[in-house]
Amino acid sequence: MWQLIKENRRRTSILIGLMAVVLMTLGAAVGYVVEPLHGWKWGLAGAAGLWVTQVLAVWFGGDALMLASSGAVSVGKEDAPQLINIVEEMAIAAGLGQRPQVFIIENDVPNAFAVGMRRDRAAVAVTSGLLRRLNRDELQGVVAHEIAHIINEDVRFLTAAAVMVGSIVLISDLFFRGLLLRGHHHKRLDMRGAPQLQLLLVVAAVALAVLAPIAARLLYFACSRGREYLADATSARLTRYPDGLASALEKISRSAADMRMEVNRAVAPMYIVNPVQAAAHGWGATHPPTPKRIEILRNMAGGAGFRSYEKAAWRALGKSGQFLVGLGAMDEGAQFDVRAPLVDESGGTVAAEAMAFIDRRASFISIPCACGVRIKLTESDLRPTVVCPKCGTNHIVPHATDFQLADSSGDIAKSGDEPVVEPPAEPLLPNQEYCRREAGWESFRCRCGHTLQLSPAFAGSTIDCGKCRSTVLINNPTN
Amino acid sequence: MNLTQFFLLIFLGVPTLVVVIAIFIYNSLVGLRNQCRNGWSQIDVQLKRRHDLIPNLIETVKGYAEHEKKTLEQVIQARNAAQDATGVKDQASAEAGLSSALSNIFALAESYPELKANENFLALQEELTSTENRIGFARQHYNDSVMTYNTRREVFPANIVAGMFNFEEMEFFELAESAQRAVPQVNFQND
Repeated sequence: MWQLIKENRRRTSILIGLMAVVLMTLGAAVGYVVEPLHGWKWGLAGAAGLWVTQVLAVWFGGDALMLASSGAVSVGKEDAPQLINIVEEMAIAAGLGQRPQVFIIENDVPNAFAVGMRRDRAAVAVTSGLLRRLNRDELQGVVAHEIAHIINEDVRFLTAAAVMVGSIVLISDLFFRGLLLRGHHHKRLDMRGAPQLQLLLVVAAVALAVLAPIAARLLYFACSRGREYLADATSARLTRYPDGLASALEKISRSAADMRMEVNRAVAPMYIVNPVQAAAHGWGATHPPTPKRIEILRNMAGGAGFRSYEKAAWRALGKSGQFLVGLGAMDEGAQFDVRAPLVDESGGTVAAEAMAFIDRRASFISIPCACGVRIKLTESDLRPTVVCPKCGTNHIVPHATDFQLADSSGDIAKSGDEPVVEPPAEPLLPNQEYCRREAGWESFRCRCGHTLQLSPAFAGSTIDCGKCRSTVLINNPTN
Repeated sequence: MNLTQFFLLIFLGVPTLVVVIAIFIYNSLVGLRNQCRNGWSQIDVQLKRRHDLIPNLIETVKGYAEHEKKTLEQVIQARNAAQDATGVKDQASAEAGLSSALSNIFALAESYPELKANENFLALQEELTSTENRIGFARQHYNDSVMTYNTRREVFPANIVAGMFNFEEMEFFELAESAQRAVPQVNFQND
């Protein structure tokens, strides 16, 4: 494992250095075109300043930015215990001291990515579509792939490189604006220096501004492709079950062909399967072709180690698999056998938990029906009753009742007519009450129409409405 | 360069180089040994987590399956045995015993539909299943680390440094074969 990390570190510094040179040259060129006499100095200083700020910004806020731009929301143990458990298990397998934070993106396209400049501050994000489609083994394979990116320090590399590419693109964009600006002041600046030399320099600067972003992107793509194979190999070794990831990739690529996910182009290479260019090949692709990745994982001949992966990769890729030379040596001669598939008794609980979490975030009221259906009501839907679409049972939408008027008409939600609860002798009296029906997550409507959520761990006696600020007394029938 | 200078260079340079290499090897061995120890403590954490979950499980199951005292007692006994075990080998076999006792409880739940529908029980089942997985993965990580460390300390020239500074061979955490393979016994008694 160590050689891999060292190699990544070396490549990261080379890439950053190289891109810094391109950036500075570009900055000087921009400055020169804007103001031929001293402008290049300002351009250089500006580019250096931009670079330093960007690196600092990425180091301290890159993860948050990327997660926010993809609309990911943080999930806790209470919200989706199974998903958290799967991530925790893989973090342990990888020897990661701390479980990465888990995020869910509400999107039906199955995909996943990892962020984190440091191992102890990493995060894994998965889409709801992924959770809906994969079983536990497959999900484990995908999570292991993402954790592999974290331990191989690919995340650091990709984020740093993505920001570099971004700033080069930004500067060359600025350059063309500068050119426009100069065209404006053309008459005043024209006659300074030798005209031919000046023209030549401007042409060179234009060429640089056109080529730099392309070169930066190609460099970036070439480096990120090999990392996907390595992460696949690491995932296979961590889970000891290459078929899990293989079948997950099959499912992901199948639906990626029909669906497009709207993501920022700069962060696209960080996903397990590139969401923007699912079908791209050749040197513009950030990811190796998914069918090849599946073929390798399916042909590891009962082994789960790096050596088995290397052999399978040679068979599948032929000469283009050369970059994997030496991978097998990292097994240090040990044998890694494939384990048996997990018995997934839960039958889609991971997805159900995640969906419920998303609904809660969207302030849906969720009503369980005896026939097994969960009826969902948006916050703007203020119907007092709702009919189950499957069995036709009429349900009263759970809602808080006025505390003083305990016997309001048609109030069945307060089922069983609980014995009178003594109002707590506090100066701030709750003016509404609600009687719990379930032990798990439960949602009900406040008088003002706002949806309130009770977690399974809720142990208090009152809850405050976030909208109208009124206090609701919670009656717990179990104690 | 005269002869004195040349010999001086050899006499000073070669030992310095050897010492520097030895320092590197020593540090990498320490790093690997620490990785093994961390791996071991991770297994410990997970085993303790499982021990802590068991009283809760017993409480929940008791209410639904009063007639299964024997199975419940087996679990408690296995848990106590696992808590008291010391040393890698003993602990491994005691934990394997606990695993099979636990699988008996989950098999038993099949014949109690109300227990199977209990949210508390389902949550505990997920936690215990995940803990079982975690123990497995922590063990896998520990064994991988031990293997790397053991190989490294036997290979020349690291074996010289390992011998000088007493880097001892680490033990693998193997589950006792017989207990691991034991098929969970399903109790078909009617009551």
